[in-house]
Amino acid sequence: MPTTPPRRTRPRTGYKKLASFYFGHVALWCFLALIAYWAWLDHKVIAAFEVRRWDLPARIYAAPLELYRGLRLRASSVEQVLQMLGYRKVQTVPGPGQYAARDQGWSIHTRGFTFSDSTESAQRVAVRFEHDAISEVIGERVEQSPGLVRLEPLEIGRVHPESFEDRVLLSRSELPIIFKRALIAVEDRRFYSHIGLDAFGLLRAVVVNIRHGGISQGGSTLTQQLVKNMYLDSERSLVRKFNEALMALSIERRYSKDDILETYCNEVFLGQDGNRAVHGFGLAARFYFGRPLNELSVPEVALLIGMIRGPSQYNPFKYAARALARRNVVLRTLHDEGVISDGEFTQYSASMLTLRAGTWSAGGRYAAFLDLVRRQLKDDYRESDLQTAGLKVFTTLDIVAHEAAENALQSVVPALERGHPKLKGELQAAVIVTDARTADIKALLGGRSEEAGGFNRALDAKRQIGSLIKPFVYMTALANAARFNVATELSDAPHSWQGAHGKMWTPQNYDGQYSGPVQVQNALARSLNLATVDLGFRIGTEAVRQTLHRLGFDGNIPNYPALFLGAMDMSPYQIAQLYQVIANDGFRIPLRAIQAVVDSRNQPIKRYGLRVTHVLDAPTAFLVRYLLTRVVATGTAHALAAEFPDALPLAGKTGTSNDARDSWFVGFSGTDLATVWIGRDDNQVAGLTGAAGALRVWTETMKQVGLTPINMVPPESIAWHWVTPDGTGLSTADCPGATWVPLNRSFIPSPGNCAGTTAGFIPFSQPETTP
Amino acid sequence: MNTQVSLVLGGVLLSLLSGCTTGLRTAAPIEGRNASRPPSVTAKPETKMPNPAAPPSPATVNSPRVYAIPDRAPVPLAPLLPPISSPISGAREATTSAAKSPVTDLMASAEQAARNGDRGRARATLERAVKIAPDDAQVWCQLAELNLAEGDYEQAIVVAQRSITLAGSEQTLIARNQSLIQHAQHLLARKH
Repeated sequence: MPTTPPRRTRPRTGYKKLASFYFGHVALWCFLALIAYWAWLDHKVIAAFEVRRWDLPARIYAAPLELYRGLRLRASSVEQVLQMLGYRKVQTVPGPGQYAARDQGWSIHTRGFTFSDSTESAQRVAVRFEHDAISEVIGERVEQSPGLVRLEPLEIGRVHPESFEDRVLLSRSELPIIFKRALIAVEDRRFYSHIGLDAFGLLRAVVVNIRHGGISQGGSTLTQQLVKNMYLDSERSLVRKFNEALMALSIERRYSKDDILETYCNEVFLGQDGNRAVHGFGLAARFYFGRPLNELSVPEVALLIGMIRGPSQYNPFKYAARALARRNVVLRTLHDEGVISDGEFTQYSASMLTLRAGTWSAGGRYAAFLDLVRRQLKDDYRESDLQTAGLKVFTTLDIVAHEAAENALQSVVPALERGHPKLKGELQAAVIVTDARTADIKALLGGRSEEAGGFNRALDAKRQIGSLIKPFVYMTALANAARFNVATELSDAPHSWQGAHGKMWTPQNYDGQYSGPVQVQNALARSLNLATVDLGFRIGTEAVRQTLHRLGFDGNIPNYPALFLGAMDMSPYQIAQLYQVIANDGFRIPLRAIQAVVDSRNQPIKRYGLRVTHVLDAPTAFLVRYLLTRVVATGTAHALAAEFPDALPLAGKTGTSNDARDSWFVGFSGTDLATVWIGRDDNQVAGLTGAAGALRVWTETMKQVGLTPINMVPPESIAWHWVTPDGTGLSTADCPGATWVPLNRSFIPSPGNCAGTTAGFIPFSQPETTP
Repeated sequence: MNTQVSLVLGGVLLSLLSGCTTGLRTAAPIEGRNASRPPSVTAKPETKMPNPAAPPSPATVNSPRVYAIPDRAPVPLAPLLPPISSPISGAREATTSAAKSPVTDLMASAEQAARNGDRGRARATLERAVKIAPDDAQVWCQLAELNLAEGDYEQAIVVAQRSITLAGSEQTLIARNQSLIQHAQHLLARKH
């Protein structure tokens, strides 16, 4: 309270004295109130700034592409992955996020990534190809394994609430210098020298805006903008301006310029993507250009900075011309401020907008697979943690295999409908591709086209499995090696069986024909119903039910003989799990979509490790696998043998339900197992056998994925022998109808009578046409 | 009789010494079994990994930098005892010539992580190796050892069985797995 020293002036009147007294008090109280108010604001703003914790939705990643010598992968598939990751093709030596064609392959500069097990540094890698496989990988960083390089994984989705703020956090070291210079030149020229408010800047902005005839510069400092974004609503009033100024001063007093700049760059709002608000330059760079910020060109950086003024107004996807003009205004400012040269300005201003192509993660891509991942995450995590804790979820999705299955559905399903006007638009489908050995799910499609929230047929469509049951009937029999081998004679003849309620059951073969006596291996290859029922009655429904339970199936299994022909419903997922055991030598591994989850600091929270159980003995597993290779070699899936002569042996089984409502095919190579279902959602007749429908999708998918032969080296417990045509005795090669078959070494039959056998001999090469 | 016992003991000792890496890292050997097949069954030899003997040439990277690949020392997988002159050390040398196999590197770093007590990392690294070479019996064997170290005896037994089914005629590796299974069964029995 300033007090004036008594001076000899004219005496004051009593009225003036009183006014001065009161004014002084009021001013004092106002001043104190202001101080208190500021202190309160200060406390509030600092407390919030100190935490600076944004809600970060969990990010879901596909499996990274591992590059190593011997991997069966085409150069074009690698390029496809690079494109999806936003790598740019260049003619020169590639920088980070770029690749170039080099002798028989690519030279790639990877970006580096922190995985759940280790960090993969950015480096330049030479990858060469020969015969659709990688022949050589040489990474620059020899301290890592130079012959094994992981690209960063593709982000395929996020777990977020209905409407939300999304961002990719950047640390100050990740902000490129050119970007920082440009941002400061355009938004807050005196950022490094002002105290949070900048009167000169405000004046200057007015002058510049008048000169350029439009708003190219704002008067608020970056600090003020940050305060406005972080703490205040969008109300425009003097009070708010006043608060903003006080809070800006508070923040400047307490934090370094770099702190403030980093926070600003992560906070600023830069666009809307459906329900998702795009915040920060890290996400904006990926959202608009499909690449990280440090890989953007100057014109691209200029566009992002220009968008601060009006993200929706200058949305380059919607208003390209307006965005381009805005970018050029920013470029001119950069030129005026000396950030770019005359030549650069001319060149950049003339350049086109270069936006990312296609839809981003917000679309329905990978919808069915993500549905599975989210269901599994829900079992282990709270919804709020998934939405806000910044978890990273590493999945098993193989983007090459997924793309292959997607393409196959898009080309085959319409082609199947073309011949049948009634089917147009009615056919639906599901595909699951898994690693035959590790049971990792590489691709999962829940319909012919993917839509978020759509019916996930791969998981939820329970459909009649028809002949897909047969391998498990034969498996049950062959496990009893004392009674059955692959040459055991079955009767494929018309027969009626008395049901439990006195009803007669008279199953038919698909083509209405009968083969009479037939060997086990040919009965399954040709998918003969009557021979299978004959075998089924010899072992009983209960034994088959037990087999399915032992293999891990936990659904209902009927207890009547129609079970032998697959009169039960399963989802494609359940089928894939059952056949996984056959493809994996009798070892069951639960199908896996999630590998690991790490927290926002890359610390592992949970690994979803391999859990292996041994559910089928080695000889039986081999014999069933052998039977399924016969389905491809001579049976209902012989179309595959013709299509892939170099990849044999392959194994598989067709399935067709009653009246051809469901068309199934499950098949595996040495590396992959794929399950395909085609049918109608209303369960009406589709008129497609397994071979005519699902098998074609399988073929198209695997053509793109690539096939390796199955390793049919038998285990020690198996021996090959010539047997008599009915399989009851050993034989010699010159005995008529003798067959060369794998047998369980513990149950080799004694020498049989060559002349006395009657079973029909079916040559190996005879093609079959039944489903 | 005495010589037999000492032979068996010696075998066990050698197998323990060698860990899960025995011999060349190539596709599971199939010789000796194919012979029993008649010509009507066309057996395709596995084409899993190409011949790892050909060293990568630095000249293939077309950039100003020279990518030097240093000659790597043999990966020490069983350093518990000094190597003794035996058929195994010959096998180790053979491993050296193929030491640049990505799976070998992963197995070595998993071993390192396990020794540093970081079993989570060891597991993640080994599972990465399994993904790359799912038919490699040695990787499964090392995974079984990790399961054993983690006290998951049931899983150790099954994974060792998996390794055996993939081991072909690699007797040392089979013996290694079998002794691991016995050990795990013993520990399992004691636990119950």
